[in-house]
Amino acid sequence: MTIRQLLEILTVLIPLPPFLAFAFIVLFFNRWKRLSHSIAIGAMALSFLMAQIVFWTVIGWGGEALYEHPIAVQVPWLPSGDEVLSMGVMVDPLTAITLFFVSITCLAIFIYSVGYMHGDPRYSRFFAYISLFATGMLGLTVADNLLMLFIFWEIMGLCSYLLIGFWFEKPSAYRAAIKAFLTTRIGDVIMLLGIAYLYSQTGTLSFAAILRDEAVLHELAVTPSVISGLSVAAAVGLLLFAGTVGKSAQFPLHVWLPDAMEGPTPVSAMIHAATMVSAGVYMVVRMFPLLAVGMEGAVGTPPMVAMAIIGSFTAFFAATIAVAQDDIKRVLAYSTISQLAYMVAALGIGAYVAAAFHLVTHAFFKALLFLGSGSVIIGAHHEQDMMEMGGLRKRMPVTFWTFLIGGFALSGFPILTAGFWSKDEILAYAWHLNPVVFWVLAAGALLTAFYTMRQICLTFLGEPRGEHAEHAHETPWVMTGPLVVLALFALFFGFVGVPEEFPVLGELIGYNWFHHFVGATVGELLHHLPGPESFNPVPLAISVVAALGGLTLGWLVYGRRPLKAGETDPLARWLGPVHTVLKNKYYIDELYHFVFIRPTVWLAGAVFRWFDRGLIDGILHGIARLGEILGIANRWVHTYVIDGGVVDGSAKVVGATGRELRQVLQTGQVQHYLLQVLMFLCAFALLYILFF
Amino acid sequence: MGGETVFNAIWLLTILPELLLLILALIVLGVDLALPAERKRSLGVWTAAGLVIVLLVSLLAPVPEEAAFGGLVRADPLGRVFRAMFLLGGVLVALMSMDFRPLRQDGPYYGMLLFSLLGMCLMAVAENLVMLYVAMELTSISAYVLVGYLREDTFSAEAGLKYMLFGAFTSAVMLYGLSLLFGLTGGTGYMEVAAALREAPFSLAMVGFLMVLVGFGFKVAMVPMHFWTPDVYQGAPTPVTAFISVASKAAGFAVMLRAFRFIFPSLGGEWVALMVAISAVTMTLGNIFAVWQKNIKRMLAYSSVAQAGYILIGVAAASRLGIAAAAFYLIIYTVTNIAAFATVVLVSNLTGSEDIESFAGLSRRSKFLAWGLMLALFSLGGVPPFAGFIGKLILFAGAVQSGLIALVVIGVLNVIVSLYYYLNVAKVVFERRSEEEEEPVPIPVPSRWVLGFTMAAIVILGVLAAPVFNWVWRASGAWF
Amino acid sequence: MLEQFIFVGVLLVVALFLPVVLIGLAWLLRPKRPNPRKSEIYECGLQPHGENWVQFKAQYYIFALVFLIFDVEAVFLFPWALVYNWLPLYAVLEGVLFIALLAAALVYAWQKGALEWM
Repeated sequence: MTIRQLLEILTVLIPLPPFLAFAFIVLFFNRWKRLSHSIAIGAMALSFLMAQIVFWTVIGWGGEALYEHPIAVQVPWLPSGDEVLSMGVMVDPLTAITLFFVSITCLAIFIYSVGYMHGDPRYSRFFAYISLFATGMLGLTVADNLLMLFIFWEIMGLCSYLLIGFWFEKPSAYRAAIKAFLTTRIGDVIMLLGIAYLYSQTGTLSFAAILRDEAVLHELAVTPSVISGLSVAAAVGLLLFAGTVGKSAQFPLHVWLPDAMEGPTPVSAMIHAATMVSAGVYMVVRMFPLLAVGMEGAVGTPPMVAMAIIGSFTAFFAATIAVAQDDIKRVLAYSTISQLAYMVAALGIGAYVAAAFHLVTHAFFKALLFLGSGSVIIGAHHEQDMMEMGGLRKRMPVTFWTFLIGGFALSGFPILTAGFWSKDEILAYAWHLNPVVFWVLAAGALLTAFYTMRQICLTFLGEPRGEHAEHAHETPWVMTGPLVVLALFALFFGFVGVPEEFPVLGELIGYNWFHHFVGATVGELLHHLPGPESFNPVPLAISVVAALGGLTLGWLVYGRRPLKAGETDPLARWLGPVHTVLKNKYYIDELYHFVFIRPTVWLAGAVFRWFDRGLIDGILHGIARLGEILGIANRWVHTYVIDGGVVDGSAKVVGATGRELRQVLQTGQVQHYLLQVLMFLCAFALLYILFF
Repeated sequence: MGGETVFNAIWLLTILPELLLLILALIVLGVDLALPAERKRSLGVWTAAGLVIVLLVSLLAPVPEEAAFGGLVRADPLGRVFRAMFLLGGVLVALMSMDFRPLRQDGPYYGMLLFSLLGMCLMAVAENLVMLYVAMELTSISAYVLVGYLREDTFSAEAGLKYMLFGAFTSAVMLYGLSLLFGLTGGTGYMEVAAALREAPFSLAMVGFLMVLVGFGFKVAMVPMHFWTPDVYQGAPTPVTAFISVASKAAGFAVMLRAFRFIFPSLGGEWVALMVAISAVTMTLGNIFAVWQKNIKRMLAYSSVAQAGYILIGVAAASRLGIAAAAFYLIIYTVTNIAAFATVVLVSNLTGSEDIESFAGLSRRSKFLAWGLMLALFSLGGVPPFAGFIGKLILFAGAVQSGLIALVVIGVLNVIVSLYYYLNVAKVVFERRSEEEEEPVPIPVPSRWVLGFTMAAIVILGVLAAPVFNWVWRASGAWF
Repeated sequence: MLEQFIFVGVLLVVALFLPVVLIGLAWLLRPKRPNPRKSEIYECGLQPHGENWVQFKAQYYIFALVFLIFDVEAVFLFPWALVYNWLPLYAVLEGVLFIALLAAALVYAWQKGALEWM
């Protein structure tokens, strides 16, 4: 067996262990908590191991080699006449890097959950669900076609529903679950339309057959779609992007993500960092050649323009909301929306590698932040309001330092953190390609740094402002361990993608590995993408200023003089009504409720009253009445016309079948049956004899 | 026969499974004489084990492609697919019969089962009107006996009588039809008949077709030859009900597909139009009547009528895909329906009732059984990812390919209606409480095997249909 | 081809016509003077008693069936025996097989006690 064959088998097997863990826990071991978490973690560790073997092996091959000969396995799955839909797996550079970060973050979250979920009455079920969740993400990552990707995508949708509503005793939790499910579904349905449209045009959904074939792409780009002015490629791209808008919580479908905080915190980390929202961005990154086909110079295609607009808008918009939130997890939720929007915007302007890079670094530091916040919540006895915290630095030192690293990475603290390198790359491209996008993103970066600092100060600095914070304690090692590991990644992962032109460091490292490796995923296309030819210090300076400025500003407002208990947020004093609007998330939930939900409920009520009760039930009752009349008539015929005493059993059968419409045909008497057959025969025989 | 070869030993290979079945039947009858009464239940094992061997032989033994015995039979690949289907059904039914309490475990029962299977296998490969008729009669007469096998039970006796009267009548009509065809064409081989039928007057040929259709229609339980179904299904011993609902129906479709393809191609569009109408009416009536049923066997009877309607879609499509889809669906239907009836056997053993109500609380009495029934009902109702879904999908695909869009629409609507009554049973099984729910349902070993196998098949065929479908698809190639 | 069916049609008409005419004629010609004695069920000249629906012992049927098997066997064996000398080996074996199968059936029925009168 060659190494390649071994890797093929490993790749196929990667999503399997968590699924088996799910099945075994649900079916057999749901009473044994220890056994359940051992199985789940063991399975995840197995997947992790296989994913890492695949990743490190293909790294040795290099990006170009992997692009030329990706690891690919296919089996025929669904026959449909002459064609057979195939299912298969494929590993190209993008898949490899995604496997890398997904398996690490998932494993960290699994281990962490042992501590976080300790003592929960549905402990085993939790591990079953997150195992299925991991299956969804790993399967989606290795999928080699859109259909399979969509199937795993939906599995994750289901898991997010189950896990957000995991504590379904809380009304807010199950509402949030339903909201998440329905909101993402809007995007999914549109995405499915896109998939169907793509299939109807190309007859295949395989990534290799569509994205690697110049002819197919060109054909799609020149064929006009049903919407005038749009090529098929553009129409499909827009429809697919709608799926991302839902899954990655972009405006206007961002409303579910903050509410999804109702789930247990490891789930939040899972949804926000490792799996679900990443899947949305992963999908558009994966489909990028299709989205970008027909691009000329720096002028993007319609889907790219849409992505640039929605991405940059959401990035800024979500950051403003985050500034005014008091719930520790909600702040992070909005920061997720905002950071994902960076990736979407980056793709929108054609910064393919930068988007992928930010996807990876974000997964690390956001998982870290979420797990850190979970650690805070557990340490502070399930307190989530930052206004009630403070002074946790001394009480929870490990959590504090790791959280600080995560926060700085999110802010893009220069040089030291991974977040800086990826965000800087996006900004550098934006400066070069689209100044409007650049300034919006830079403003967003400033806000990001500000609210991150606000969060750190409110949570960890000063004196405790609440009872729970007073008695806070450090969490056990199963929780802090993953934090430390993730913190290392949040610090150092950025160095794999240092631009070669970067002063000093660039020369020191000398090779932008990430750019070469992941960039190889799109093959030739990479060289046609516009980008800065040489290093430009201006965007770098602005980016550094935004990060440091935001952090300093946050320090000045919240850190220099920590809030006292009962004191209001200084920001609320200064911004007044604006702050209220921000705190209420621009009233978008209320708007949706008024515009969509109320009319739907009203319409449903009306339909039920008039259509269902009145019309349909009316018809049904009418039919029932008719049946009754026929039954009575039939009974009369039976009693008086046909001799009652046939075989005993016939009477029994007649009695058992009751008086319903079918009595007319199904009398239980074989002579009637035969007569009806004969009538059929004669009628049709006559028909054919007379008319042909 | 003139100068032709009178006999060629290689022909025996063509009917090797049938010969083995005959020998097996004799062995089972012989063993029956030797066994004391209390140990006769082991006859089921003998039968099932023998059938497994026959099944393996029929799948693995080399078979000459050309017609044997002067054109009486031709074991072409599709015929062999059907043969394997019947034998599989036979194995499962034999195992199931061992656990059905009211049934006398004796030689004639298993013998009749084997003779009926022998008839079916011959039906699948018959290529001559006389052979066809003899094979169908062998199948039917054995089945009449099986249906009335519970002599003390008036329901069973009545069912046997009705089945026989209905069967005899339709078979007589079919015999008239066959003689009419013979009279028109002067031949009994399918090819001769088809060739001569091109010259024959259309209306007479059509009358012959209709009369033959009555005979086939009885076997597959299509409207309006379906009337016997509910009464017979309800009255017959449950394993026998399973047997005539899967193997007998599949045999009917085997001869129907072959006859339409090879005898009546000249009638072309006319029979297609007729079959489209019958298919639509069959599935609609079956589903509507099933909704009202309170007895699970009666419900499954109407459901089997509806399923016949779905399969008729494939017949009406009259294309390679349609035929392959119909055969493939029958395989799925075989395992699915047997799973359903196997659970009915076990529950009725315990409760003595076959009412849907008696399934209340089943999920608490036996998870395994409840899920077995559930998988079967989901598959019948075409819920993805179970086998029935893929089966229906391919059937509909075949119809779309042949341009029968309206029929597909009716089919899809029917699938939706059918979900109502299938899920109704699910509700009773999982939601309704009953007083006996503390008492677990014992599952004897044979039923364990049957249920385990069918459940696995339902799931596996659902998620990985390709290998089996490809087998059927390749087999159907010989007809085109 | 189709003309040959005319004979069938003629035969059908004759077959329908003849009994109807004959019965009709008899009905027309016969004297109609019924009395109770005349209307009684005919039973080999014996005095009829009981209902006209009576139960037979089911074993009659089994005897009749076993007999019928050999009756039919004989019908098949006559032509076989006639050309016995000219038959190829295959046909001889076929005949032997046929007899053997029926013999096996007889042995089975015998063992099951079908031939003992109860």
